[in-house]
Amino acid sequence: MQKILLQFILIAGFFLGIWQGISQFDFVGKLEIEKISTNNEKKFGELIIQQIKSSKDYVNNDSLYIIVNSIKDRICISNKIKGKTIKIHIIESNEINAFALPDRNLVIYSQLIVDSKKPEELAGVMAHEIAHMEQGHVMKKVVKEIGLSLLATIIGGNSGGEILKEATQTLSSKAYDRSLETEADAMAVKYLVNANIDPVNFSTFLFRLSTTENAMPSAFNWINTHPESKERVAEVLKLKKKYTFNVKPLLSASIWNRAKELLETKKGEDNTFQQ
Amino acid sequence: MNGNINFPYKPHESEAESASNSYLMSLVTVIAGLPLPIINLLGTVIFYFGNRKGTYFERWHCTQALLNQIALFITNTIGFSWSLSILFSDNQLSNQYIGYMVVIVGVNIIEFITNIYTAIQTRKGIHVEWIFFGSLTNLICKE
Repeated sequence: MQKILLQFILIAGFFLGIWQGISQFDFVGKLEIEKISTNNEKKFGELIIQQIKSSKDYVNNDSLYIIVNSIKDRICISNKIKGKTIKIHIIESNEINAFALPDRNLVIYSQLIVDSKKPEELAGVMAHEIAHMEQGHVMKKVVKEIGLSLLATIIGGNSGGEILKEATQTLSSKAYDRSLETEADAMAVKYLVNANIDPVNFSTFLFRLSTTENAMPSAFNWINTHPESKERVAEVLKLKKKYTFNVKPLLSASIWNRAKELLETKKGEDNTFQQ
Repeated sequence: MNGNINFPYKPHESEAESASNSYLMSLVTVIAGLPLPIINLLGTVIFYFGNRKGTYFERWHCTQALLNQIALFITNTIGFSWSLSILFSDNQLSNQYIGYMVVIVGVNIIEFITNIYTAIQTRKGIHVEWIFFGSLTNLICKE
């Protein structure tokens, strides 16, 4: 019996030893770096944005972009993030959603702005999406959701517009892995604190949407793609306690109301904002 | 693996053939069963039950082949479920996963070669005991 046990330990030890030894090699890093170069990400991002911009729902209002970009700048400057490389795109939609796309593109749906009671709430969502960009989550999601082969087809220009449209749809409607969401939340809280924005607004927004989503489930896309909102609220509040900071106003109420007015007007008169 | 270990008696031609077949069965089902690990285990289990009332030599080798298949089934099932969890759930591709897959591919190749070797030897009537599995078989399979 002792002999059998010794032989088992020998085999199991050999198996585990070889496994751990091989795992020390950075396969993931090598595969991703070689297969998904920055150029590919840039090209893929450009293709998607080209398609989004050609949509009749793309909002082309300078005043609105100045307001939203000022929120982005506040977050980026305080956190030493290259804010100029992050491109904001606003889409007219009844869905509450925002998502990061390859090549540092951040898409915000108009209803998210309309439903944010304060600019700080929108800042929370933006900080979360910027965190996904900064942590390199976006291309990981692209590879996972649409696969390397389809990505290569799209970048190679051999695909029809339909495939690209479907890929964009997938990226806007599918959630990141839970671990990546948690990481992005933690980073978002850090970004907000550094920018002297109270993260409690972010948790308020999450809580409000999670409690009202049952009434209009299809409209709450950002919540649907970010599961377990109530747990996230608690986590954001817990993370906030780790920091000490002075809250400084983000935008005046009049400017924020102006942003909402611009969007409300767009709903009725589609051509008002054409440049 | 130890070849030429003295077996209590000299196996008959038909016993050697039957014992050899238990390893061949594992080989065939490995080919048929990929990537579902349960298939090769099922094949060996069926063969085991078909021979459990055979002679000592036949039973001994059927048992060794079965024990080996059970171990392989466990390692392959872990790899298979891990792959599914990466494809369909929150798990991500990691160095640990790739390392594991490399090791089980290696283990399967070694097992495949060992099975061929053992099938040939037992066909000649030569008793072959594998490390750990042979000792475990001696414990389970009594004359």
